[in-house]
Amino acid sequence: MAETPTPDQRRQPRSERAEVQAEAAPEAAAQVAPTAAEEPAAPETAPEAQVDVDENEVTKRKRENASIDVPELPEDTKVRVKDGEDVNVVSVAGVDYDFKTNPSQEVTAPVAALLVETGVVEVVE
Amino acid sequence: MAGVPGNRAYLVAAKQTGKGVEPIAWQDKYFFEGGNIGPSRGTDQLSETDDNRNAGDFYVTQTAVEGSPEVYVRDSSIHRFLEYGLGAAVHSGTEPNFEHKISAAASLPYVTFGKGQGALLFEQFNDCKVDELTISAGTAAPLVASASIMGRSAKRLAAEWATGLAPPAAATAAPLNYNQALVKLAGIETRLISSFECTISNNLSLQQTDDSVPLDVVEGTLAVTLGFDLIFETLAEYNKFHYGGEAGTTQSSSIFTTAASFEFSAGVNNSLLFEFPKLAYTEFPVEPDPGGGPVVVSVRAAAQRHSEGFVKAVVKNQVEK
Repeated sequence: MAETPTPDQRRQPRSERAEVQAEAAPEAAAQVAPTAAEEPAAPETAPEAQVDVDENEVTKRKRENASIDVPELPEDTKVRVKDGEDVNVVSVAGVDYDFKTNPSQEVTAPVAALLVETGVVEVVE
Repeated sequence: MAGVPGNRAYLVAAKQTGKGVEPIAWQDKYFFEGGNIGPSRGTDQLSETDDNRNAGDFYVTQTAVEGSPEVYVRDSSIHRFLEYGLGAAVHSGTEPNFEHKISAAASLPYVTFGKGQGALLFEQFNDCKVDELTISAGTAAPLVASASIMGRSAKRLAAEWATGLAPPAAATAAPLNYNQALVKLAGIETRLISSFECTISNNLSLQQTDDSVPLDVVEGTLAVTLGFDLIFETLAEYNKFHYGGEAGTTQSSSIFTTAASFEFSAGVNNSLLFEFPKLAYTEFPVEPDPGGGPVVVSVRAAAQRHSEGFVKAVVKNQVEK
């Protein structure tokens, strides 16, 4: 978890603040601002992921975070289509769940709640 | 060099599997019946004294996406627009006839929209959600879907989308029309209703933290309202609203609720059905007309909490999902 900046740090530009933190705690700062050598190379098919050389660390972190999904919970809930329901696919939150191919599936608890909300899917006890 | 004709424009859309995940193919291509979508830019002005009386400089507060594109309703694609606005869809059926039941969910999908204007401007709008979706039609008029959209970011492309994201062909079938409507109040067909307007409001908020690009677009309270024009021929619905029942004569202190359904059918396997399990009338104005025209009541109603939800839509078409 990032440290709360001191009053002096708050008055500093964020890019300078990151440099100060790097001096004070090199190990912790390394997690916040990885070196260029540690970063995975940007895929050729996504040129927008490339970072300008003069872009400061804060801007770079924001750009990277914009495409990071919230980590998924363990897939621990088994769901299936209710008896008598004619269902091919159920779409929730932008994702299609193919129940024609896989009549019962393990999904995360939040996804299971969304699927059950449709009225045609139930949790397998 | 000639100017760009305004009527040469299209809209493409595809749901995302998550925030920040761009689609690999567009789901549908639409043509604008009205409205627009584009990058938005909020600015404000510095306010400080100076050695002269000049007003302060401007600065950017937010960069995002907003718009309200309007498109004709066609059975081949409206199930997707409704899924964008409500959140969940159940697809069933077999080739060539499929059925899609769309209902409200706690989470809405992120949607990527794209706009092509002539052969000059191509913009892609990522991480959008539908704030408000209105499906409406006047007497004898085609149905129109108007979607108020809020999104996080826009990017301009140097050329039109290609390969996997090449825009699909737009549907060419005639839009659904109010002349194809079958309307029921409390399960009984009525032929006195001459228009339809259903509005799904998600009350979205843009959350902005430490960047001009908003952090997220978040769903708020869901509300569904219905409006229609009713030829004032009987007192039944009027009495229900004011007097507690069809034969009531005393003002009621209770809310009267009823069910309603509007089905627009271009054939057995090409239709759009809206079901409102529980509605409460909110306005029922019966107005005199000095001109002597027949009285038409512009009824407004709001969906009430019900085990089957505020509204369910069923679309039949030849599209698998």
